[in-house]
Amino acid sequence: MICFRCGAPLSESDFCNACGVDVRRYKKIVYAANSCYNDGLERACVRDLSGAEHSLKQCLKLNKNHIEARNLLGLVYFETGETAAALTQWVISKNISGTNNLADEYIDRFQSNQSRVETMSTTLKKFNKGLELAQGGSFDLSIIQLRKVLSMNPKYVQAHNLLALLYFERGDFEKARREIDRTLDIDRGNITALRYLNEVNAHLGIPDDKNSKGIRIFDNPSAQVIRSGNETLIQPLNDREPLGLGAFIQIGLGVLIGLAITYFLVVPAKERAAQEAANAELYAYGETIDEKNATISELESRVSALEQNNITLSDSLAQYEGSNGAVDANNYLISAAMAYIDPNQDATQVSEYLELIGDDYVETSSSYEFKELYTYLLNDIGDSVAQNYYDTGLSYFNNGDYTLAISYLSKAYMYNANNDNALYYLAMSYYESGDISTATDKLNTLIESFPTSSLVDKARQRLDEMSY
Amino acid sequence: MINFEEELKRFFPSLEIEDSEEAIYRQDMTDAADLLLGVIREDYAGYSETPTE
Repeated sequence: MICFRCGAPLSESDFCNACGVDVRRYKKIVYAANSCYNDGLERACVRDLSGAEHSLKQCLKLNKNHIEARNLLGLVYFETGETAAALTQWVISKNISGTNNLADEYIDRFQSNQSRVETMSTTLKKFNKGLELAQGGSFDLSIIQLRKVLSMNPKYVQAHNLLALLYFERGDFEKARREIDRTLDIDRGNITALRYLNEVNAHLGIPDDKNSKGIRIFDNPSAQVIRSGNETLIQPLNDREPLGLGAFIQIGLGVLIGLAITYFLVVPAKERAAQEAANAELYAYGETIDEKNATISELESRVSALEQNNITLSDSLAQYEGSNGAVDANNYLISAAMAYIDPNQDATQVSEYLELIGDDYVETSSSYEFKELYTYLLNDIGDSVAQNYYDTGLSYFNNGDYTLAISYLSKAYMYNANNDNALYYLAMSYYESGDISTATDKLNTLIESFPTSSLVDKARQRLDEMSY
Repeated sequence: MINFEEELKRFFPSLEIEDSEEAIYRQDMTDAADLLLGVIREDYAGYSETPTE
């Protein structure tokens, strides 16, 4: 404690040791201020914020420099939603004593969140607007405004009280009761809320004594209300649960509803999911099939190309080989030439080699040199072998062996195309063996090739016979 | 019985943050100690202000 006059520390003496002023009354004032602060602190601890505010104000009236009381008063204001008043007290406190002052921390914490500062400022403005609307008679608009305020700051005691008053005026006693309860949760000693509570309870038929367990049965005889302090218990009467058939019916209905929900909601969803999965799998298979088809098409193309290539190569090979094979044909021709120049071999040997060479090869596939040599040999030995073949063939014809006759007479005609007799008997051999068409062809050839032959008339006669 | 109009008059607008500076300046900081000091000064007005030894 310091002297109020000179600022020197005071002792237990009734006078200031520095300036000698009588400090007895001053000390009493300071003690009284401290007592008020202690009372305010006690009340604040039990949430009697109205009482705490009163005591702390008393303390500050006695001792304006009581930093703790001013800080606590700011806290009380802040807790009840009076943010600006709280800031005011903290700023004054900081100006009185700037060192080791909790007010510094409170101000910094508040100002650190700018959005909260804006919200608090808006809350205060909206409350003032709501109060103005209520005083102007616009109760509904005021209620709306106050609800907004309380949504932003649920601890705003004045707003709760004003809203409770408006609900009370409108006859909504239950709502008024709720707002009053909220006020008392924040500030248990709020005189205004306690007064309103008495009035609302009277309208609701609730006894004043909060500690009693009074029972009040409302107009609805199915329930009873028990109030104990701030708690309200509503117990239904005659609420025996239904037993027997009714219970089973209710259970059955519940099961049916559950089945219906499952059938109409759950099952379609599961079916849809399964269908989608199946479709996805089907799509995947389809893609696989497409890939395989593409591969198959490609392979088929390649096979076709290979087959064509094979045909081409086969044709090329056939060109070289001929019907008897080109290599064999050359060998046979060489063998025939060797037999021709060999004095130990006769024309028959040469003819045998030449007969091994196919006529189609000689005509279509042989080279010019091949054909020249073949023709030379054939012409040179033709006459001698032709006669032998003719005689043998005619012998077979006379004996009725037409097959051999055809073979030998064909060779006879091949080696000697001027032999009309060989051609005639060849035709007859075909005729006798049943090949009428070939016989006809041969006879026509005879008529055309040998028009002056003595066999022409006989040939025409045979043709007439064959035509029948 | 609650008289709505009378109760409504008991509600006052809250101090807004923009007005807190003015409220600080307007704050009456006189306490009991100041009053006591004033009384003592009045008492000493007819006497010397220096303490007697």
